[in-house]
Amino acid sequence: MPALPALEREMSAVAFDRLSVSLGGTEVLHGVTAAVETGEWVAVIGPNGAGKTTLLRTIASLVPFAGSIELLGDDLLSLPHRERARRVALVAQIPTMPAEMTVREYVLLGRTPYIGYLATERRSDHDAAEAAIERLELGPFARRRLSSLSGGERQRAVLARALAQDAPLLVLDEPTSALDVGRQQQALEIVDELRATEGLTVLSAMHDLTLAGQYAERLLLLDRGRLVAEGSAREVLTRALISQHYRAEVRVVGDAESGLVVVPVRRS
Amino acid sequence: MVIRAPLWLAGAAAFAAIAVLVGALVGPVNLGVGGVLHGTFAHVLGLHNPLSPTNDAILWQVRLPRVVLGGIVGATLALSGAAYQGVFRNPLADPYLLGAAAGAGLGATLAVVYGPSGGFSSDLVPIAAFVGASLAVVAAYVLGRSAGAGAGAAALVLAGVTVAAFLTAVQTFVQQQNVQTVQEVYSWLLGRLATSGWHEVVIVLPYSVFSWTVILLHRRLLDVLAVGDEEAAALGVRVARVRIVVVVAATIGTAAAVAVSGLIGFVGIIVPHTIRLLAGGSYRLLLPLTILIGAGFLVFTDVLARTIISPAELPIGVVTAFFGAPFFAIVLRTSRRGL
Repeated sequence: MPALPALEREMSAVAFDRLSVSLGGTEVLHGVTAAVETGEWVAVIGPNGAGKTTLLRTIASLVPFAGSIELLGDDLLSLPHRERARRVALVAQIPTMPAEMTVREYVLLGRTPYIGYLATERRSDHDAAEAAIERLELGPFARRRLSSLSGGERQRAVLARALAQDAPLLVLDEPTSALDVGRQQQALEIVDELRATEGLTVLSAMHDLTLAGQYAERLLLLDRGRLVAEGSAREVLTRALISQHYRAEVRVVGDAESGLVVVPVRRS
Repeated sequence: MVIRAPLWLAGAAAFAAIAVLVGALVGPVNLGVGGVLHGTFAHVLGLHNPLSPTNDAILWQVRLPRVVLGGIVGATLALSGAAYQGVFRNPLADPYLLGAAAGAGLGATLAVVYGPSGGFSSDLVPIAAFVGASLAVVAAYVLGRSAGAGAGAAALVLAGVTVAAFLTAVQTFVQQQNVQTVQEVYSWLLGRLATSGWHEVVIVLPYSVFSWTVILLHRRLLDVLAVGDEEAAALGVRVARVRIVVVVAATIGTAAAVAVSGLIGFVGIIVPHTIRLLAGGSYRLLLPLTILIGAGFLVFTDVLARTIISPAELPIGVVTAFFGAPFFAIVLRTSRRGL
């Protein structure tokens, strides 16, 4: 179980205050203010170039920013690098998976934030990695090289590494872009399960609006670097908002079984 | 894998030991295996020496220093190559990537051409080579960083190529203007393990030990870097800091090796990649193996260099290049299979 620092007041897992990011002279994010509460699943949606990935990367301290970000109540920049990595686990859009590395070695990398600069893994690190491997049902694959795994198994390895990081906040960058519909579901189901059993908070950037609506409790709609809408799927996934910001023709269909489904409508 | 590591290390140690023995045995005067072993122990422990004073001098003043130097230089170049490959995630990175070879070559050339006459056999050339190598790498670093903090490893590599090209051009120009001295520099450039007693070993040893220690201490971090700069940073690693520390350590070792033995190429590529093909790419195992096998490899190569056209000697850089060029081809083939 990830250890949450015990504080009296309710604190968000992550809170952005007037977050702005400039990359190569262009303002990619402008004054974004939002929060993700502990245990929530919040999805960041928006058209290409809206700044979704950039937002996620600021949390992992990968880009310089103006404004402030608080991780579990502490200012991000005041935390040492390893402590940041103990609080947030980032799963990249296209993770680099060294072909020759074994699953066990790869998952063990998730323990890096807990190991001293020149130190090596301890018993507790190996145990945590083993637990993550078991949790993602990778036991039989532990000794296999990453290159010999199927796409679905690799995805589980990536999630296992993030889980081994024991961070209360899981940040997923487009976790399903390159996956077929079956694997998309598998990945999101695993994340949702982990959220329930491990008490994780999830912030994901998502392409697919229907899936975002199905899994996230709250949506943040970004357009050209600004937060333009925030709320539940019902509030944000509206035809008006989608056509305005995505410049797409859609119909939003409510379905008891599958929640809101965003249906692209072909202009004749 | 965990069980096999000690086996690999033992095998590599044996390889290095055999190389040293063969190196000490091979030569115009036949000392015999018994003579070499007995003589060594006797010399070290101060016991009665079975070798004649002449033979003892051959062993201790001529052969062993050369063999030990070969081992140290081979280990240092191989380890630096492996370290560069880890830090830049580029399988073709070698200790000369950031311009160290070009800088050393220019330094040596300038020392020969403009130094006091007869300066070649003085200590000026090694110092100039060391300084040249270090300055070249610093220049590459500054140039690479000027591309912006986000440019990362690729910018550094390009900067290194740029610096190397420039310095090589200057060196060629200087050589052209001073053709009479070219031959001296040329033989230095091709690399040779020429020793005068233990002098060179004493010079290079502290730099090499420093280099080995720092790089070995960073084994685990080099494994983490395998997932890329961004993911490593997200895991809490200060990537730029690790890179600079490892590069400095590898460069210092390389510069010292080049200062005493000239430009011996391909060691930093052949040895780490052969080990990777056999024992896997994890730096935790790769780096210690690289030291041992790099040492043995260069000692064996030197034996070949000394004996192929005996009594003349081939420059050792020629022998390593002869093996290195086809080896590059093999590495490229395996790279395509997903390195």
